[in-house]
Amino acid sequence: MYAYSQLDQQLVEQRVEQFRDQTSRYLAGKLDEEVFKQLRLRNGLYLQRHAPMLRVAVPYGVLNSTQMRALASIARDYDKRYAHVTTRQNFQFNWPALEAVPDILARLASVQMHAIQTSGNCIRNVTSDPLAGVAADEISDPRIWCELIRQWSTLHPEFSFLPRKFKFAVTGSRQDRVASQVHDIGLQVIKNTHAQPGFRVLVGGGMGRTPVIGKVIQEFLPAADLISYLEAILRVYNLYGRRDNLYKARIKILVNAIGIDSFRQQVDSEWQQIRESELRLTEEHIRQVSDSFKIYRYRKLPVGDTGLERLLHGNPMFSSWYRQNTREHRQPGYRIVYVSLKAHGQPPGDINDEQMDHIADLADQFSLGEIRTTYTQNLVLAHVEQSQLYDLWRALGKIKLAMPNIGTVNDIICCPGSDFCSLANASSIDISSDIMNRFEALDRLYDIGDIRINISGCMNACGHHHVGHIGLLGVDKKGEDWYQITLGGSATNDTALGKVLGPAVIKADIGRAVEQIIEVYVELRQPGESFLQTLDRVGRGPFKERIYATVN
Amino acid sequence: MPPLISHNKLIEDDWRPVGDDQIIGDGEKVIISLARLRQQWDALARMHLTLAVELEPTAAVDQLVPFLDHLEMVVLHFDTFTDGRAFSQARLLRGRHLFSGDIRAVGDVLCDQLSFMRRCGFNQFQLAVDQDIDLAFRLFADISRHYQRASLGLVTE
Repeated sequence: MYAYSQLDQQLVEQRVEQFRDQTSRYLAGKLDEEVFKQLRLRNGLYLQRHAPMLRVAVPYGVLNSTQMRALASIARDYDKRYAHVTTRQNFQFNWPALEAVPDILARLASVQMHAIQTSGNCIRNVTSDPLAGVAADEISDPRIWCELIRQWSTLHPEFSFLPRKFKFAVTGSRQDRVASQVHDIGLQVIKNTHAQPGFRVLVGGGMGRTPVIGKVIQEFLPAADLISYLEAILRVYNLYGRRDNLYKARIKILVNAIGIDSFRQQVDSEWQQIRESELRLTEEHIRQVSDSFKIYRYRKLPVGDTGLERLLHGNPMFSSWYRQNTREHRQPGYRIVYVSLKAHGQPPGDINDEQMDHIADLADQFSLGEIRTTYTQNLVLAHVEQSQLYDLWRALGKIKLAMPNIGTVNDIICCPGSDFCSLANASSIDISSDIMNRFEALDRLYDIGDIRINISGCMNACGHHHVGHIGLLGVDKKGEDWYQITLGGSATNDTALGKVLGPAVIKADIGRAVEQIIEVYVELRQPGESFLQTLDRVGRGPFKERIYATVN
Repeated sequence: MPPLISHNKLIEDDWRPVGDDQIIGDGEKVIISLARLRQQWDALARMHLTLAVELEPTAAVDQLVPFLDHLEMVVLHFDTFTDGRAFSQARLLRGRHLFSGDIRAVGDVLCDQLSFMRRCGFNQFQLAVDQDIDLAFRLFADISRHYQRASLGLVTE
């Protein structure tokens, strides 16, 4: 966990006072509506359908228990006793009063948190691997680089009014758990033949209205050049990205318009002039940031039998949860635990204040006081001793957070949709609820296996529908909610954009349609074949036939 | 005229902006377009002028480089306050081309952006008409701590 320096703390506190001043000028009628909009967005504040929505930054998805308790207290004191984990690892409050936001920010600052650049046309909060530093397949811990990017991009005077929003994702593992290929910039930490760390740099990926897979602009960028290279990309984008059309302003449009080779050339010629400047990362600077991360104090644990095997054999429910919700930890005797926020009857990613407080306690008791958020809208307790898994599972069960459904059909990524968001064309939460109700039986869920279903209420694609194995996009047809279905998307190493299956399906039939898609898969799959493999082999025909024979 | 702040003081503007078809007299202090500067340079150079150039947000700073030694001021334009191109232009002028004359922000120049502008190298600010001057002075350094170091002409204090 990164600990704030004096600089970090002062800057965040000054930002709170700056925003307090902006808000009071707005409320006094001394700040223009449109100007305040741009200023508040850069501090994560939207004015939504029912009330303002405040998006709190969780840099690269890591929280400590004190911060979680502060979030719980905000949910209790300023909101309707719950919060929402977003698809960019942030926390969102849906009901704060505008007047109260400066006080909320002050409370956040007191626990080393903020809402800086969680919205607006600027460099957004950097996302990363929820298993950073603990994953067994990690090449290099991405958090140090995320923190360096966070510092460089925070209130950067040159890049605070970009043509459009700008999103980074950083992964340091062989398995991509950050969707690095569908971000404005995706960074994959790798090592060269001399075992020196560096980055494979992707640029111009993204979802939204025009989904694009990122293109490789650098096969190996030495670590010391990270910031100078990013600055070169951002400068080219700031100067030459389109500003005449909101929908053509993302960097992906610029990269596609001039071609990746020409874009690379422009970036290189800019980079050559700043590469040897103060932007070059010194070993000392990297060490300084690295030292600001507290080292995890693991215990030396016996590798052998800890009684876990016996408990797993004796308890099928615990065993399902273990299989579905825990992962290998690189430290012997430890296990990574996913806490599912996908309960029946709950909007995906929602968590109430009591659950937040309990999770903070459980993190202190079982996981070195740390909690992570995932872009799939779940939580992670990353450092649990194997011998304590059973106790943790029981404790999670008591607060309804032991759903053994990570990776299954019910682990749906879902935006808030038209229930909350003023951009949405259609609802999404009730669709996810409909789907979850269809797959309530765990035996059936496990028999189906891992399938990613992603739902967005509009083409801004906050629900990542393009990269769902099954993606649903809400569209408005004459005041009614309809849903376009895409199949074959993926956001991992084999990133692909889903293809539209056919005409949109009306709300009343969409849950059934998703169920039919899954039935076709189960009928046609060969032993051991994943959904994407089956789709690849049989094509979209059988899915299409089944759905459109019965609906519309 | 909109209020003009230079080196942290409110000043009178003694520059005359001239259109491309307007006549310039010998020894005048004028702001001209980049196009006119490039087309009429030989003639302008003989007129003992005090010269400034206004650069459009779309123009490449590189085009100005051959003339920088002869310019007292570069004027950069914010078409709207959300158009951030002039931030990059100012930084390139200061940090890369080591321009030591004045850099003036004109157009939709808001109090709430002055600290960003100042840090990128602007030192003259022609505020948008509806902006409050007292507020402007208060907001120049509303955030005093920065992560970005003094690299490439960024003002850090």
